Amino acid sequence: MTRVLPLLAVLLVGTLAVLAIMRVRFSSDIYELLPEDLPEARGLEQVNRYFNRDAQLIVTVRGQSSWAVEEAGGALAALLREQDQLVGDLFQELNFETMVAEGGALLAWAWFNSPPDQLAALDGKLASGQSGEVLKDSLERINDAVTAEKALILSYDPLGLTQVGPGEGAEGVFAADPMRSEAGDFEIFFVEGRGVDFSDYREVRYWLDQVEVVVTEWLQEWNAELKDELQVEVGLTGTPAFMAEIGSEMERDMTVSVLLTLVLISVLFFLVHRQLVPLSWLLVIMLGILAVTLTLAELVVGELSVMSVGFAAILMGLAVDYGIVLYREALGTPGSARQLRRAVGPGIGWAAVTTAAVFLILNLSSLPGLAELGNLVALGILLGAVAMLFGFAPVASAVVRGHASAGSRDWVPSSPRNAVVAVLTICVLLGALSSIIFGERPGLQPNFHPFRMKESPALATWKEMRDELYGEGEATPAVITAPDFEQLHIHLEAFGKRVSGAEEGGLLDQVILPTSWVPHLGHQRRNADVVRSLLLERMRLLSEIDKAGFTEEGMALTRTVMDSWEKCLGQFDGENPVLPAGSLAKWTINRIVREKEGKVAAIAALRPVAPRDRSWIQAVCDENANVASLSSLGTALNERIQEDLWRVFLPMLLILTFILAMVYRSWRELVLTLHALVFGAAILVILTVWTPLSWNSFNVCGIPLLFGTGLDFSIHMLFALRRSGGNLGSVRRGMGKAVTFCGLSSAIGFGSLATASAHGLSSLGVVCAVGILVNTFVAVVLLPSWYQLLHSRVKSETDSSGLVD
Amino acid sequence: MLRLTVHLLIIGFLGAGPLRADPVVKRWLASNEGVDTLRIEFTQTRKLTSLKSSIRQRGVLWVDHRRGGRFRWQTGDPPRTIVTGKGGQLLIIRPRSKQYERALDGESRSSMAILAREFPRSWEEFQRRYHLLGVKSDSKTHRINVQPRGQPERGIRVLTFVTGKEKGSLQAIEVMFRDGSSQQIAFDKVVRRLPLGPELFSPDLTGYQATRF
Repeated sequence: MTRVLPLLAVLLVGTLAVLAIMRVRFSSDIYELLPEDLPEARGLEQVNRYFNRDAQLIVTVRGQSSWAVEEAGGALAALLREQDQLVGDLFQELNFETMVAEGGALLAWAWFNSPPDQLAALDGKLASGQSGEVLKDSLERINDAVTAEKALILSYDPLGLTQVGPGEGAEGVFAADPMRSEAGDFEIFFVEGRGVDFSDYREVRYWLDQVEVVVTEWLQEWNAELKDELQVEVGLTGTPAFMAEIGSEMERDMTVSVLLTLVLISVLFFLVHRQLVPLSWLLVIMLGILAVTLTLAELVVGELSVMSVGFAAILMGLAVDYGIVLYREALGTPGSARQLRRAVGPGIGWAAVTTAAVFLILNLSSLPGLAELGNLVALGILLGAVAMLFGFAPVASAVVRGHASAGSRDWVPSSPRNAVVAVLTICVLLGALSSIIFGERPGLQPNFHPFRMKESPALATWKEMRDELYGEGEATPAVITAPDFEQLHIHLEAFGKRVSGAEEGGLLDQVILPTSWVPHLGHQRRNADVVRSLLLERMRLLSEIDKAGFTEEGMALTRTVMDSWEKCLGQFDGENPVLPAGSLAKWTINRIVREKEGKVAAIAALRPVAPRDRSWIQAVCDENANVASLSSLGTALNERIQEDLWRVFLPMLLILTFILAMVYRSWRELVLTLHALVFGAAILVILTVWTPLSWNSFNVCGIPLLFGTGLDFSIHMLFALRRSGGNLGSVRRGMGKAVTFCGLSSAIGFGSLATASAHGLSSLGVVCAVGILVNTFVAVVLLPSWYQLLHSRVKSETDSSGLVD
Repeated sequence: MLRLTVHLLIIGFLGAGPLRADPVVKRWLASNEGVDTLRIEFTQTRKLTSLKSSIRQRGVLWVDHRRGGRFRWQTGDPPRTIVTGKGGQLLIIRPRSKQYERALDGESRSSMAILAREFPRSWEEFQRRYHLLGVKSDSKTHRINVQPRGQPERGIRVLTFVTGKEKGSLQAIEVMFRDGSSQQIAFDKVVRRLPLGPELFSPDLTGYQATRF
């Protein structure tokens, strides 16, 4: 019964923990992890908020020839259009038929919204007696067009109505967003999903699975029926694909890291203590802490970010330490639970408070994701300390009483002789110094990499799409926001002046402003009368087009524009600007201008000369204009994190040094603790310079955490040394074992994050695991010898390796 | 799938014929061998579904495959449009309006570019550039129907090389568009291996203004 009960408890609490994990909602929005005050972070967030539609899936088709891609893309698009339950709408590259049938509405609106002098010029050209010249000129241009394609496009536009907007040619309206590669062997189309809540990644996953089934079955059938050269590959990317992938990966990360941590800690405990009953109760308490913390996290935080999913594993790794300290104390000094709490309770309490404080200091970091991670671990640590003191202490006490002989082998390495330690100390410090001087100095990787997922089919497809459609010439989007369209024009004008200055100053190569696509009430008011007068000329113009030699097909676009102008005038009340009508026009405009959540936003395109340099950002951005530049974001994050490091690290160092001075009331122990920290840092420097271990803008925030654990271990060891009067052997066998176990369990907790999908979280796990192992080695093996060296008058007991417990 | 079926039917129709395609193509490719310079007088006919009548223009193309390749394309008499290409640069000139535009040639997709670029000389090279749909023949010509493997002109359905039955040399190029429009460039006179001066490919731009057509 004594063995069954803890197992049942593990199952019960384990189930509760699993339910708590399943209840957790994950946020797949990586932009929430970035400092909000950086224009690049704001720009990325705004592009995502205003212009990336939750339900818009991008389908890519690649084949050996343009013909194969065109045929396959058309067939797949037609099939998806038939899936009424899954697909609301679908947008492909414009062909002539679509351009003529649906592009007219967009052209009509563009003219209605254009600067009045531009429309007046068109009105003048189409006036009776003048329009003949326009038609003659059109025919000449068709005649002279160098390519047949150009002639074909011009032949559908006898009045030159596609010549709208600043400096745009006949294709200008339609060429802004390419959907096919230059070689023609790659194309994309957009699928607007329906049927599920696209803000919930679990529902999105379900929707995407259904779409994938349709696409996969079609692809197998298509490729099976055709020769190799006509076969194609299909990829899925865009917001739904990213959401589904990131959400699922986050669930996996949390589950895998927690399970891995629990299993490895259990194995470690069993290897060290050979006891199943205390291990079972320890697991019960840890799973209970996890369930309660997750429930609280959901209530307080709401959704967990991609970075804070790692908190559970870290928490497991740290919380188990208190149980181990209690168990070791119970083994060493058997007694009641109250006696046990009295003996080690204050130590555990202070350790929990200082560790929680270290994690809470992460709130001073500029990275909101890291602050959230810190808060969750801090909350869990405090809960964990209470749970271990009042939940595990009675168990430990009872179990040890029942197994008084419970002991373990002497597995903690003994401290080397003082001379060896002295040489090692000097060598490591000199090694670190020379590594900095002669090696590659440890620095931060200047990129956005840490915030991305490691393996992601959606990201790979996205990169392929960008390479194929934009290549090196991809522009950087800038988002200009305002409360309304009128204000947006004012902000755009100011932005236009700034980018002109930056262009003249050699910071920008190219600028495309969205001004003509932003609804303009003033323009529309003045254009309404001109459009009315043009509509009065409709029959005359169509008759002239006919006489000039154009067919009904050649007149279709003109008719659509005229019809759409009538609709524009019907909608226009003089108080509110008319927005484009028709699905193509709306879709096109919504990719440039969006009205959402009581604000309006427009997107501009910039091409910086030196994308990584931040001077162009400073020249063009203000509170209403931000730039979604990943290149300069890497630079900005590095600058910010380096500032943060000092902002977080220095206060922490000063506060903890003061606390240490008060706690130790001995300069020797204060110096020893600081020396242990410096020595641990020196080893990390050597590892960073000479091994693949590297720092980035995310894992560098693990430095305060390593500082905290190094401090904790030193405190435990120095107090133990003080209590034993410098008896190295007894300290090694007692506290040495506890700290070693704590170090290993914490390293397991962090190390389990190496499997995380997010680069940053994974590298944070690796760096912290390595750092904690270094701290453990320093505290358990070297610190006692340094203590002995510094306390020359302390009665020394040789710590011969032959000694056992 | 319906769309592909229709397309395959069209291709099947275009490809139908008693002849095997390879020998016709190879014969045409063989006729290109050793030709470094060319002067082609042609008639360009555009039949557009949006226009009631077709547009016809006469022109001349000079091609020099030596020294990295260069060409001059000229339509109208006196010339209305002149296009010269060399070293990856295109120069488009409108003599009547005294305007010109410089542009990158890149992988130009037009019929003009197909003509101006050196024709494939081997069956392998032909297959790299084109997907052969089939060959149709009448009493005097073979019609080699292909799909360019790169990005063709937008809306293009089929590209046809018309070769003479007697000598196998190229007589015309035709493109058929999805909307039913078509363009034919028929060769009226071809002179091979003639001397071409450098001034032909570097027109004098004195008095001209740069623009974007």
